[in-house]
Amino acid sequence: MFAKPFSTGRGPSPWLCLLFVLLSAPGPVPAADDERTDQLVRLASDDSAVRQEALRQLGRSRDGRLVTFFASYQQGDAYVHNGRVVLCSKFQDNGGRKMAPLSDPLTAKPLSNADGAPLIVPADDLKSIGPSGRERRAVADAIRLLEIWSPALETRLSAIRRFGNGRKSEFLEPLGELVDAEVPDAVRDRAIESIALIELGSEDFSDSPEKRIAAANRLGELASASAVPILEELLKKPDSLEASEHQAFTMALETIEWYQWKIARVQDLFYGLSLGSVLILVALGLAIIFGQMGVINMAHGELMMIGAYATYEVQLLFGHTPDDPVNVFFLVALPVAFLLSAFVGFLIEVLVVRHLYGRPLETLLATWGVGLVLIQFVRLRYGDNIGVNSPTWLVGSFEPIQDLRISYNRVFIMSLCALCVLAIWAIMNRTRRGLLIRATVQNRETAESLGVNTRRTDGLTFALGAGLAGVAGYAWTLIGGVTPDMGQNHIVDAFLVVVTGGVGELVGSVMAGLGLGVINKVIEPALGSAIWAKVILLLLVIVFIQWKPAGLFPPKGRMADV
Amino acid sequence: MRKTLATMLLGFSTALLLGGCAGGNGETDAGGGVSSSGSGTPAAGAGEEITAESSTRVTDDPIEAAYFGVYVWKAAVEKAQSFEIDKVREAVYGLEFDAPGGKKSMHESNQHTLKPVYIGEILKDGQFKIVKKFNDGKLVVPDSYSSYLHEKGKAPGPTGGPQEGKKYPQPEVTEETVKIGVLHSLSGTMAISETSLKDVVLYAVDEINTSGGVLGRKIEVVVEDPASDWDLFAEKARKMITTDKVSVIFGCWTSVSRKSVLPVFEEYNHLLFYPVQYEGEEQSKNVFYTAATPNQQLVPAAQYMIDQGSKKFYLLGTDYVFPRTANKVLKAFLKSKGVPDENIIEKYTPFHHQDYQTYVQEIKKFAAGGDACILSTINGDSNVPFYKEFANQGLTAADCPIMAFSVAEDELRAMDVPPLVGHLACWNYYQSIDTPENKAFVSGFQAFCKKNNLK
Repeated sequence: MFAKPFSTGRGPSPWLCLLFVLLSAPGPVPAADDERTDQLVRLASDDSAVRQEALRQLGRSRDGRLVTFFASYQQGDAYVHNGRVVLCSKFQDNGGRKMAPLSDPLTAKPLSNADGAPLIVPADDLKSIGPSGRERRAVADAIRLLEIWSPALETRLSAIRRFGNGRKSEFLEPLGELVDAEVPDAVRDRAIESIALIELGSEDFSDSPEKRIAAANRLGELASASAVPILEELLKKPDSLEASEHQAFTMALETIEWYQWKIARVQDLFYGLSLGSVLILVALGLAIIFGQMGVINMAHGELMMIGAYATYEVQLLFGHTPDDPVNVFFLVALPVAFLLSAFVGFLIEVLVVRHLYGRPLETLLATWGVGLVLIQFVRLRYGDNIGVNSPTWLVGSFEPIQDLRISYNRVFIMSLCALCVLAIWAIMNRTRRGLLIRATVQNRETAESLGVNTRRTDGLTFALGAGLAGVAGYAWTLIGGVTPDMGQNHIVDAFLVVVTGGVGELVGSVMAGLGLGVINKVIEPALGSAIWAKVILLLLVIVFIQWKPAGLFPPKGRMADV
Repeated sequence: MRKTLATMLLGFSTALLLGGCAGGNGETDAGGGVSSSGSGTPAAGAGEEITAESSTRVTDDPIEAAYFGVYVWKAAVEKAQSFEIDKVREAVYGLEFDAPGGKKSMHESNQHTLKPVYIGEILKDGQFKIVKKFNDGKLVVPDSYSSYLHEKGKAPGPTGGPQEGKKYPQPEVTEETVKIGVLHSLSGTMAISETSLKDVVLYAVDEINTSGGVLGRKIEVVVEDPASDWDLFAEKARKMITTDKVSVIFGCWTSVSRKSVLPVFEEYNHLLFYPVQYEGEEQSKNVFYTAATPNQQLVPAAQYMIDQGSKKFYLLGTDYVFPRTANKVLKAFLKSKGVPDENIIEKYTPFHHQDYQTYVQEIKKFAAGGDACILSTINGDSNVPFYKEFANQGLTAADCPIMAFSVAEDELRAMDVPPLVGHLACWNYYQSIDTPENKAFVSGFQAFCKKNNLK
């Protein structure tokens, strides 16, 4: 028995594994490696039966170092030199003579000759080995057989699933070993599912109805999505099925589809809410500026863009990369994005908007112009293609129940959205500044005569709305790209939300954002097309506005007359 | 070809804005005197203080095609010993030349380029590993019209070319200089892709001028910014031909912009070098297409997926002419290979579509039985949210590989690459091509961008 070194084939892990092997089991390892080397040499045999057997043994060896070897083997980088298998990925040219630096097939480490110098031999001394056309499949299978013992869970699960989908009965045995071995539950469950898939789908079992019925029942219990294509295929040929099989397969298919349908609806709801949160985040700032001040700020999208670029700058500052994560940058980026956008918003208010109050059309054009200037400024400063790398803890997803995937970034955005809404509500209703803002909105002259500095209030309100746009841009870096004109994609959606919700009411924007998000995600899968979903949604909004011109939550009382 | 609806109003006003603000900043040291009408280059006017981060500039397929386009024109001019359009055109046919990615040649009789076809796998560092060379790495002969849409021998002939008895405006060439035009969007939605092509043309011109010019004449570049607005493309092309009297124009990206300028080039019998892979179904004597035709990209890519064992194909694209035509070719090809209808799904999203949750969910269902792949003609800024969503929902290249036709090194700069490792793209060139010529090209271009502060 030897230790089972394993690596997925990237990075230094084969070395570590080797080290581990050398330290932990000095005795049997050389023997195992010798045995491995012998098996490798048999890959170079002229007898295809010998090659096949060697492949089979190597595939079942659970030796992770072979994954890298097989990849090189597939690419034709493997050779025989002096009766042993070596790798050479690149030839050198030495004064017109082709020379080959050799490396070890198992460790990929450069080989050295007796006096320690790198072993470089003339290319003519090498005999190339590689899989023939038919064998390529077998090599791919061998790689996957090795991968079902990989320490990386995702690699492992995906390899197991592929055996299930491949439906070849020869792999029942290694999968069975997996079920009996000490492995994580997820791996065992997946192996059981794949075994059932093979038993149901493989041609070899078409004459054993009991086995197939048992497999179908098990798959039904597991609600296995992978079983649907097989069951559908089998049911398409009812003549080849016995009555009991037909009934069992139909049952299993119905069970699975019912489960999947339920999950899909929950998933749609989640998608809707997450789309809704994005819409709310984008619209919140606009709702404040447009709703509270009556200013149509066409540069809103660009303020969002500034928030996204601020996040990018903070990432550069902290030196965050996916390989070398400094995740704390993302926490720092939030206030930076807010403050920078708020500051730019403040400048826009002071320099442009302030001089145009009461002239909505000119404000619209002027802010639009400002937006274009910002776009081109950012383009000249940054170019067009940059990317924000999400912090590593917001990459990926979890599966609270089978087949329901919740991605971390969406959860984060929904929480951020809730937090922003709460914060705005608190500022507006629980602080003196909020009181002044509301007073100014209700009646500017009266507020002024009571000593409220309305100019200053306007500036701060605008800055607050702009800052929120910055937060939206910050959140957006988790979902989409960062480009100078990214704001243009969102401005229409933002207005849609604010107008549907009712100008001047934050709660309206929140409800409208969630509503539009959910409706969109419910009709999209039904229509099967994002284009039509958008068309229908716009039609719905138009009809709705006809019916309730002031939106979901129209301003009431004296406010309505203003 | 890739991407977009021009946001017309936006594009228009941007052009105005730039014309107004940046008009004075025409001169740069790029290419021995760039006479810039309109926008100029980003390098202009910035001058001393901007210190760029270490160069993140990359090269990719369209960038290479734009680059060697200039050299093809130069070689043709020298072969013809003339700048006359018709003579240059005749000299292009059958021309062999060294491109950064290796030897290539122009077709003997049609307007396209013989190129090698590679499949590349995305690596962690945003580069591609070449996993398959078609035709043993030899050049693939371009079909002007896809053999899957037209019966053999029944494809339409080329349009355009000189008409008898008609007089055309001739390029203005002095003893010292010759003018060429660059027609790439530097603002608006397409700037994200086209700016790099403008940069690389300037780089090629810089090289040529340093080494003595063309037929002893220095090249002067006229840069115009059509601002991602395809009507403006036609207008600017007309201006460059009739007013600036340039000898040749390098430009366009989207198919719709090419279709928009085509009548102008045919009317004046002028010459356009078009550097982006496209959907085929067009061939004009007034255009040289230096990037892939469908049989140099789409068909080999689909063939590769079949060879890899894919049985189900999800065709996902942005809703405009390139993806729609490309998918027509792909579907015809897949059907000819015996893929049944129910195993092909064809879906489109609008431009700038940002929410791919539902699509990825559908793909998951589609791929649940295994052996599925995606052939993606998604363009522009939709790619980032699509790939992000794909990875976040736990799908990997092992479950369901994405074969992309519009994602190259330049696009990967804007993405969070690690989750994309193992997905595929089919191109005729990759930055990672390991030859001294290519390395010199990459580092030369990066140094040029840095020197001129091109982002």
